[in-house]
Amino acid sequence: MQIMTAQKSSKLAAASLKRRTAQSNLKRDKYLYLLALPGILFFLVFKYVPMWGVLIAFQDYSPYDGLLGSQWVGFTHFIAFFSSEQFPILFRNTLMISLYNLVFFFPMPILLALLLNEGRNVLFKKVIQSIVYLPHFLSWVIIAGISYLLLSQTSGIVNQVLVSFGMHKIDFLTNSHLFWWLLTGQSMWKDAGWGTIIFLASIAGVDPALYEAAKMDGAGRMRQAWHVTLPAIRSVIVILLILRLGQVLEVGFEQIYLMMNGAVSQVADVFDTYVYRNGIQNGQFSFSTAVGLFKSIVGLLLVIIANRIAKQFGEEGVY
Amino acid sequence: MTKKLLSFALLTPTILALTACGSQPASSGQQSAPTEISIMTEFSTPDAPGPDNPVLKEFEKRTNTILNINWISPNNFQDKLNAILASGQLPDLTKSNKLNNPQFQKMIQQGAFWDLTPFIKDYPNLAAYPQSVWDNTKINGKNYVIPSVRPLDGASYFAIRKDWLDALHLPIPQTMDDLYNDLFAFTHNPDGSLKPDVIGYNMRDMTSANAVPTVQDIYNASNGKWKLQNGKLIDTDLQPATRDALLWLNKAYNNGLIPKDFAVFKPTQAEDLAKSNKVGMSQDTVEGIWRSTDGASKIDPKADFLPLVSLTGPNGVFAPRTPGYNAVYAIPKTVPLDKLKKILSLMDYGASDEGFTLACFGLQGPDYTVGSDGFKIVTDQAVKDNISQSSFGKIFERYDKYLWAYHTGMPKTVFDRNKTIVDAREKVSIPDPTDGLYSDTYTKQGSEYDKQISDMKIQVIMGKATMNDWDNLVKKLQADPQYMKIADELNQAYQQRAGK
Repeated sequence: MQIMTAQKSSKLAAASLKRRTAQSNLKRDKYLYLLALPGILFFLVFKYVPMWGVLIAFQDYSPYDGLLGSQWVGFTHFIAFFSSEQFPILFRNTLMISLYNLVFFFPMPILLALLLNEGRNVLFKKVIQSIVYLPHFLSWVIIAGISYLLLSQTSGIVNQVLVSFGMHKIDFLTNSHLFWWLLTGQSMWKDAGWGTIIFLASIAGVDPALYEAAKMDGAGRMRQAWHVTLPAIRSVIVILLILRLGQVLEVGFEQIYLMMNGAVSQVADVFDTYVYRNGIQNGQFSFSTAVGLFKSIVGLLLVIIANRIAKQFGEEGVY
Repeated sequence: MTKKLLSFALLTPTILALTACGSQPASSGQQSAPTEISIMTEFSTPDAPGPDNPVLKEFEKRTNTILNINWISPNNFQDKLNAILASGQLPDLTKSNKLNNPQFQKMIQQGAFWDLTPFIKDYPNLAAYPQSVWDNTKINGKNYVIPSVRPLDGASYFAIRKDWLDALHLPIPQTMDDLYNDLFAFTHNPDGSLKPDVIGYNMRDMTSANAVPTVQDIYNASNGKWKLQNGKLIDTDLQPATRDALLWLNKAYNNGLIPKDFAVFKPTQAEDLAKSNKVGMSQDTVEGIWRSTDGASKIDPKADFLPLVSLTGPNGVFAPRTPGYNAVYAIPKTVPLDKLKKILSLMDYGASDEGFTLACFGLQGPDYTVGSDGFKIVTDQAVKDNISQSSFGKIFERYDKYLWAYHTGMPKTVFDRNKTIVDAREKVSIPDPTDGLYSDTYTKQGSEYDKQISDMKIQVIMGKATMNDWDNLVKKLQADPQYMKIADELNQAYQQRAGK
């Protein structure tokens, strides 16, 4: 009995000590916390509070009845989605577009950064850098417009050139075999330059002594890039890859929505466009929330798995 | 500096009666406090009318109201509407651009809006809308909405270059074979009497999402997917006539009568081709096709798109009839009865000669003058104030049969020809029998099916899928109980409405 009370009181003491230190910490760092407050509030108000909205995925939500009045239906929407014949098509398209992006688009900024890094003339380097950044600031609407102007069969410049060389016109915009390439190409054109920023920054942080040592050992420029620069930015590459994996099911809605047409829709329809049609246009809020929730959970799982793997290979990971 | 925008006096006899002071509506006599009414609507003028717009002020004065109008661009009206419906904070007068908007329908079913059926007869100008329009906008046999009334004839349909037909000594097409031959002649004229890079038909009817091709309509003699046959609604997509229509289009595509990448066209792109004098046949309303004629005639002064009255397919003569309304307005139940009556009398005033003229043209003097020929001349001030059929005319409507025969800038000869086309169409035009009918399955799944069917049609036309693929899709749909349920539900809804 006595022992137990003693234990209890020591526990209480420890707890009150903790509380006291927490309080004193709060007191001591009050200005730091004050600084962080707007950020915390932002996340609370705009990120965490709206998250309750995902509950409508398990309801038959009707705005008229509201969140509290709508009927709960459990996993009905999820079951309906997974068993619909659209699901495998959407899943395939989303994965394939992501895969093309990962394989062909992801290495581009690294390659570009390495090339830029080798540039001798500083002015030349800066000018090229600025030029390759620029397309990032164009909206997808403009890029889609440019693509139409270049690639259409009625008046597209590329096809007119092809014809003038005696070749056949190519149906770039309406060919389901070319569509994924078209998307990847657009992404590269738009964002490859912008993607170099992080890599260039981390390359700038490489210790020059390493290069000198490599030179002493007789390494040429190729060898230096391979054995010094690349390993130095490896952890950045891994982190970006992990983050990218988390977005495997997030393929740019705008881009695909703008480029989609009846002739290619069987390879173009992805989760995002499906959610847009059903949720926004058809008003099936619950159903499309369920689809969106599924997408987010897959993304979260992928990030966790990729992070584990990265850690096992001795990398730092994102958390 | 009055830019002379000619506007036709839609209601010629009443113009003289309309003087600056106008007649006084009953409400302004009693000195009660003005009723505040919030309205959500769209505009397609360059800018939305501001809160101190003179027409708005005049409406408020004449009807003893304060109008808070939320003007929304048509480009994102649908999304905004769904957001407003989802929020539950409905304006006193809520516009839906489609009666069949799923969310809107659902809320009507749930009783979120007033049933206006018992009230309409008390408002003579609203009651004067054609009965078919009131009938078509009924839901479960009741009028929950005030339709934005439109003419019944003058709907979007084929319009062909009359001057090119004349140049090639071809008659105006009557059948689909005639039409094919005409388009073929436009694109394959060996003597070079036309431009070399002519497009037969710009497929403007296929530029909106999940559109039913007009050729399919002609082959089935049906206005849209559903056809009324022996008192039952049948799905034309499953009919052999639609198959034949796809064969016609595929043949046209293969022979270069249709642009190779029509599938990526937006309506404006298809129209721009017509405006640039490159297209033999386009599709638009009797009024709207004037834009294409006007554009093309800047390059070729003889350019003339003739809206066809009708074409004859294997199932008979076809010309489309419009639903007779464009959008609909509903009043939420949160509005008390007194205010409901106030809103209805505001709409009734807007449907009067006087109110409609005020909405579309503003005030005589500062906003327009009347020429001796009966045309109204709109002043710069009216243009600057965004006074137009495309702003206030989207709230306040009056029925006029020839509204869609006239377009600003149109010469009287074209207007007169259009009137005869409207009169001729009136005798043969076919309405969409499912207009305003509600099917729960269609509301939830319909657009996905529509997309699937429409995508397959596009691919078959382009030769990217075969007729076999089409037949398989038809078989699959026939075997799909959920899809077939749509027809059952629509038929049920149709019988229910017809029974009343």
